[in-house]
Amino acid sequence: MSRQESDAPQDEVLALREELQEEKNRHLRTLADFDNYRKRVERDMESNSTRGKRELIKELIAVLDNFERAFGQIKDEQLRQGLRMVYQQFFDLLRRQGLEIIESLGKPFDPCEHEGIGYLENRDFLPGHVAEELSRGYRFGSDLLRPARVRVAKRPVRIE
Amino acid sequence: MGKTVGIDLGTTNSVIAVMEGGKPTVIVNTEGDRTTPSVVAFKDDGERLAGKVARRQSVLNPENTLYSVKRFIGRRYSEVTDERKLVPYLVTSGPNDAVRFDIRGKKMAPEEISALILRKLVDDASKYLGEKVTDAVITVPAYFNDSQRNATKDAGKIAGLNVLRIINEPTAAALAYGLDKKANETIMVFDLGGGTFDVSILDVGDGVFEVKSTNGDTHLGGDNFDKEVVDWLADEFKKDHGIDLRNDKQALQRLIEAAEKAKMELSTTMETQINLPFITADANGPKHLDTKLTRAKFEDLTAHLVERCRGPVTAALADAKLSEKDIDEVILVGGSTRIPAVQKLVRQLTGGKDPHMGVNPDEVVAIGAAIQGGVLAGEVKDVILLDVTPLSLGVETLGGVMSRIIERNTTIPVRRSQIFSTAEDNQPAVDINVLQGEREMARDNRSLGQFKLDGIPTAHRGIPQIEVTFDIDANGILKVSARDKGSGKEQTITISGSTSLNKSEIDRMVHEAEIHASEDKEHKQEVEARNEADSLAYQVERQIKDLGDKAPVHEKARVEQLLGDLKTALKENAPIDRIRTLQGDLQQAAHSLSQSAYQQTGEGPAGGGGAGPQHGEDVVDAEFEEK
Repeated sequence: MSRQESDAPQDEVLALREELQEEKNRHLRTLADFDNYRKRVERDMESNSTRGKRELIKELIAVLDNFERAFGQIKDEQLRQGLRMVYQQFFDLLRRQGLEIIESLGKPFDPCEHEGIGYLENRDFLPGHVAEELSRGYRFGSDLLRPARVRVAKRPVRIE
Repeated sequence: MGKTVGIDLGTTNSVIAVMEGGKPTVIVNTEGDRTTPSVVAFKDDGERLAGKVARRQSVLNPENTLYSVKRFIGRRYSEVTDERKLVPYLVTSGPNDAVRFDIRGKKMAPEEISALILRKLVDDASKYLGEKVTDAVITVPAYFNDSQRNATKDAGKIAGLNVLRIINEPTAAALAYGLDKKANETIMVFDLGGGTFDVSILDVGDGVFEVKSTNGDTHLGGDNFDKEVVDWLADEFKKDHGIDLRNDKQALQRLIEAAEKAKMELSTTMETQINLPFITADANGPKHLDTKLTRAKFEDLTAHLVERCRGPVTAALADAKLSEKDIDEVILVGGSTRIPAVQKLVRQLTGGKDPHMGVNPDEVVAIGAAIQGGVLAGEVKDVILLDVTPLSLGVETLGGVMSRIIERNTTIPVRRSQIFSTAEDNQPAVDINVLQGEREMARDNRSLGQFKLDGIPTAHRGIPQIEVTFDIDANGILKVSARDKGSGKEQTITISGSTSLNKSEIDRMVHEAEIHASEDKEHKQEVEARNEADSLAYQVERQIKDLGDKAPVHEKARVEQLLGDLKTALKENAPIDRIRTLQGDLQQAAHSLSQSAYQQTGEGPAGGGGAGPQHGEDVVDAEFEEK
């Protein structure tokens, strides 16, 4: 038997072994990928319906804003009262669906819930705390829908 | 080893993607967004913020909020005299004229800031994936020099990442479209992002990309388009009401948001309504902004911005010594390339070529980087391309209906079975007609082969359980078998090439099915209604037989009359409405017949036993026709 003949099957075994190892690896990787994917899909499933709701409510916040602007500008008392009732009805509906107002006034400024748009020289609030809320922030469960747009208190500069 | 990700580390926004099951996926950050602002902030208590949270406090803390850091990374202080005047934070020089930021008295390198952005992206990715991310491919603009590339790589290292490779953004975009497989082509990548415009010309061959030329405008992007709309809105309002909304911070903010929304809408619609009630007030009361913006007007307002893209494209072509007709492929990158006028300009400058834009232009670079990461990690190397069945597969059932067993676009290999039964009493054999196509009726689809399963033991119709199994292996070879569960008899047919239709043929078949969808559905429903009526007639016939003498004579006569009518109607192919009416009448009559029969004998109907074939839960209500 020549050397060549005896080596050939040996090489083949090695090659096949390597190939098998590669395939095994790939198989395991795919399984792991799939398992992680499945877990995440399960996780996502729970939030899918709430996500749809959240997106809709997010769009509706603009309407709430406009109601509030209207209150500030409409002088006719009766009209204002009627409008306020419509607003209340609308807001209660959204609140039952999970909408929450972020309380910001007097709270320490927190960029996780507030968007700072400037400072306000003010002695009524501690420096670094919210001194004025320009538009409301809203939460839906633990998700932030929109940060409150706020001005933050700052010590007035004393003119000597 | 952990996961390998692809990161598009952008000037204004960054995106991170990963290969999952052989497919690139963009990762959603903890805030629920697919893009993360490239912003880092340092609070006075030393806490560091990255992303959206950092941006929200930037107005309050401008000196310690860093954005557009990409404009500084890997550059010398003496090179950035213009850039550093545009930012509110303090840019100083460090050792060897390197750029440093002065943050609360501490000097920090751009690499360190970029590292914090990378860290935020990677941490969120680890959370999302449920496993550690260790390796990354990061993209940089094609014009980045060695120093800028090295600095970006260092940022990755500082963030604790093993940076497998730094690749060019246009190359990543080309990878996302699979253009690395092209032999000797010239590709133009047109990237109009939020704040920068880059055009690159690449050559590809043997999977290697070579950058021929780059050009651009470092301060042109989507924000410029928004500003034009804001100014137009404000000018119009001032003309009508004499109030400049730009002087009112709150109103201006609403204008900016509305302008961006209008711009995005005009990419798909011809006009949009901009509606801002109670935008301001004067002595006469509240004022509203309510106006219409047409796409034509928008294009008019932004024509000069679109035109600014022309010069860099022409220059890039000239530098590469090419003309527009030499460009084989065009890729659009960046959200602003969704603007129709921009697309029109690109077509015009590339000899009318249709650009690639199937992949989300905001994400295409990160996706390409993830693909490169997959290749380097050995995940993509000789991937098993998972094939799908291009058309649905099924069998013909009673009335010439196609019963689908495997839906189109199912990933193969796949194995599916369904149980069918016989359509006649004592039917000895069933014909299996293997069909391919999307139409509801068997005759409109392609028959791939037929075979007969015989030797079915004598039984009433609906009783035998015949399991039909479709099995497509990884090579696309289809094996169909039918097995009578009662007798164990089995027949098999092997069909090769069930997936080897050419693309146009598949498209034609799918298209035809769409055209005929409603008439096909009607036809199928009619056949099903007839099958149902036939099944009822059969059941009632057996019921009468089973009841025998117990059935009250005159009621029995009425049922028999109706039964005869229905059978004749079915035989004569009477209109479906008539069949439905007869079926309803018969059902009612048969029901009251059995009721009065059992009342006579005092037995409950449940004790009657054996009235009609019992369809098992898993027996599909479709039966093979005896031929």
